Amino acid sequence: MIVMGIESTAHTFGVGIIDGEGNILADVRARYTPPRGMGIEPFNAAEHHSKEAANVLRDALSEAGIGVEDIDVIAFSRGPGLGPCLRVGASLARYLALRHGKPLYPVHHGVGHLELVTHYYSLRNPLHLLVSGGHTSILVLNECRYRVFGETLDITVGNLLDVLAREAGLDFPGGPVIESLAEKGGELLDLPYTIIGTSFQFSGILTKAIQLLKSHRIEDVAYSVQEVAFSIIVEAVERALRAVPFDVDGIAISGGVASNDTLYKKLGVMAERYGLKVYRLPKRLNGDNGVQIAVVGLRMALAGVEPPELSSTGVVQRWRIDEVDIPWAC
Amino acid sequence: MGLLNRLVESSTLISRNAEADVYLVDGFLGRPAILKIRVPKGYRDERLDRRLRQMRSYREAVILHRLRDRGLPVPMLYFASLRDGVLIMEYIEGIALAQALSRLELEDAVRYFSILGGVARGMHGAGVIHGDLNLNNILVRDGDLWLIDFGLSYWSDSPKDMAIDLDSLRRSLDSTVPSLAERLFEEFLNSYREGNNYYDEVLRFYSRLRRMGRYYAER
Ligand SMILES: Nc1ncnc2c1ncn2[C@@H]1O[C@H](COP(=O)(O)OP(=O)(O)O)[C@@H](O)[C@H]1O
Ligand SMILES: [Mg+2]
Repeated sequence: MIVMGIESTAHTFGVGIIDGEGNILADVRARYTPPRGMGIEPFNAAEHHSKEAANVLRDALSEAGIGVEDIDVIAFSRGPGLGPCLRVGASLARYLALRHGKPLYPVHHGVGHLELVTHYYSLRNPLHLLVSGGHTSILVLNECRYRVFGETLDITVGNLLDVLAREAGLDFPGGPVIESLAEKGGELLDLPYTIIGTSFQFSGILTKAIQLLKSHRIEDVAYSVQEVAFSIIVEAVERALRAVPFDVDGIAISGGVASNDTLYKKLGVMAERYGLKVYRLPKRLNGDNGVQIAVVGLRMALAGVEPPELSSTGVVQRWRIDEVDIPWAC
Repeated sequence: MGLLNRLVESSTLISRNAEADVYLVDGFLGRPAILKIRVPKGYRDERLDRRLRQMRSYREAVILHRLRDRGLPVPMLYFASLRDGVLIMEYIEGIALAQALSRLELEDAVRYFSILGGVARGMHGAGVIHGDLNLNNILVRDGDLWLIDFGLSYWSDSPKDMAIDLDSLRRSLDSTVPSLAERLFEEFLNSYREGNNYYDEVLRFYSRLRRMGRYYAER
């Protein structure tokens, strides 16, 4: 079986192709970069995706060494994300499915992040930490759904880092820039440490950090923001471990911010105490990509899920991960 | 720390969690007691870590004292050394509600949530927000119920903060016993509401928080 996954929730337009064992045959992406000091503008990003879609598709097919007719299943990320961007991927997916008579699965983007790491390391049921621009959540698969054991109650950690970088006049995406600046900082500035059980808030950190930019070295602001925000996340994961009503077989970290080594190391220090391993994908696979969508498509096909009517494959901009049924875990 | 070390040596570790090591002390002034030590976290900057541990021990001590004074069901505080992050308190012979729920008849579970509603109302009335109101921080035995673990607690008489406790409880129910959550939470609210002047406002913020948690804000 050959599965194609199409990703276009935000800045990345990607096409991934995998075989029935989940081996990656192709992973091609084009990324939209907003002008310095600006956030993603949905229509500009969508325009970028429309322009690149055909190239990305062609390159993916040639990387895999196949034609569209060799594909057995098509999956696309239906949401959550930016409407105009989502529609580019959805249109391409629907066109291909209709034109070539292939089954089409709409997929939740976040579930793609989780399933990719579970699949890659053949994990049974890990505790997931999903850290990206769209999510900052702690999840475990239980009773047919990903149950949220903890999450941000306001902005995501990706959002925190990106907006801080933007306010400081740095490049998008903010994560990598903040990380390298933080290595040169060391003064611990006072930032709000807000944790409520296994949930947490970051907007207080952002507001205070933006103020601190005026009076302190950016390196120290970066260091303090990472130190406080990541400690909060790790503490929340540690608390969640206790709340899960069964044993997990590791901690899986996914999403763009998973590439941050400071966060990864902190998580490792915590996990060691419980004899748990932290599983992280090769960095390239943390960011949004088509492979994560293809992996979910493969699971759906193998579980015998009936593909929905084409008319009910519209995009969903706001879509909670714990509202998605996970038929292969039932 | 000499005396403390001796005490720890003669005690049994009963829980090791995100925040603290908890020991059962055989006899503290002749009674079984709980010794709670907030241990350093290797993943946090030492300066941040020390500040957090001291602050949480302080809050837990002061709030245990205040709530007990008000006649609410929490362990009595026997001793506190805030510099070392150590508390010694009454031992409650009970099990966590999270554990109990898997064995209880629905009817008995419902009764505990009704009691819990009243206790939460009393706690909020005393100006205290629990800050980590989950099924593991509620101990039960034979129809009695206690709240423990006040390390994330703080003073507030704002309905917005009270709503946070409701949200935590609901989340804990949703993730551990999804199929019972609705029913048990409803029972909780029924008794939380009784004679509670804050109720309408708390519920308004609770609904808002639930919606917001459902879809993250963007900036
Ligand atoms: N006063 C007490 N009486 C009996 N058991 C207690 C008491 N305090 C704590 N425990 C036990 O220790 C566990 C952890 O204590 P807790 O105060 O909740 O700390 P943590 O921050 O580690 O969750 C509790 O779940 C409970 O089993
Ligand atoms: Mg506890």
